[in-house]
Amino acid sequence: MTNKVELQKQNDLRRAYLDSIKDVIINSLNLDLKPELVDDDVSLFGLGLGLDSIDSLDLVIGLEEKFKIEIEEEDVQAFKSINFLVDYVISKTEVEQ
Amino acid sequence: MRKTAFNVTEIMQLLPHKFPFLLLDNVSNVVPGKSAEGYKNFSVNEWFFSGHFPNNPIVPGVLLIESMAQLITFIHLSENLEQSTQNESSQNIGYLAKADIRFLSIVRPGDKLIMTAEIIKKMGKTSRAKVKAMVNKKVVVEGEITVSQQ
Repeated sequence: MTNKVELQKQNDLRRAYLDSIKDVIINSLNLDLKPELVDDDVSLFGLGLGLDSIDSLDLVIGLEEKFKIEIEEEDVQAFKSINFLVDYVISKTEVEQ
Repeated sequence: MRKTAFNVTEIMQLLPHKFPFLLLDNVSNVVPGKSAEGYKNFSVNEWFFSGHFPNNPIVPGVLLIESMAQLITFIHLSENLEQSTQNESSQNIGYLAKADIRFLSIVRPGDKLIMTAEIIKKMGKTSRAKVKAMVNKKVVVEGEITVSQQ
């Protein structure tokens, strides 16, 4: 029972991060999209959202401001999809708190 | 001891920009890769005043942005100052990628534009700097500029 409650808490926390990150993506990149229309597994580069280097910089600065974290240049590989990004931001937030 | 101030001859050795498009007369307080101050004196003899505008000379806003972008490029090129030669540095061109700028006052012939630039984030070859430019201690331009190095 405790495990189930704990799991639910983790899911809720992850969902909250996911929603916040989608908001940052939409606001930083001035996308004309509703958060619910952005797939959690969509690729950030290439055929997905198609971010370029300037978009990446906008996104990094937006995420740093929102979550009060420092994103290193070599960590950008975590930006493969929104789900990867959520895992990365959660791990950075835990480390830096 | 590291050199932190550069006159126009030294700037020309590092920056690829030359007349009539070098828009930086002096650079000081250089912290390589991080920040710098610089200035540009706008003389009435500048090439663009004859057309912008006749009998009402004003420095074009795009050139104020360009001037600050050159300062940002200098900050980056100064990182490998000791290793790079003139040929190498002239290949390192900084391209203006994005500008989020507010123009607060007009700049005219005779004005000394004093600029500051501080890199706030660098990812790969793309970096963003917070910039500010003043004339007679009054802020005339401020904002953020993104530059990509070739």
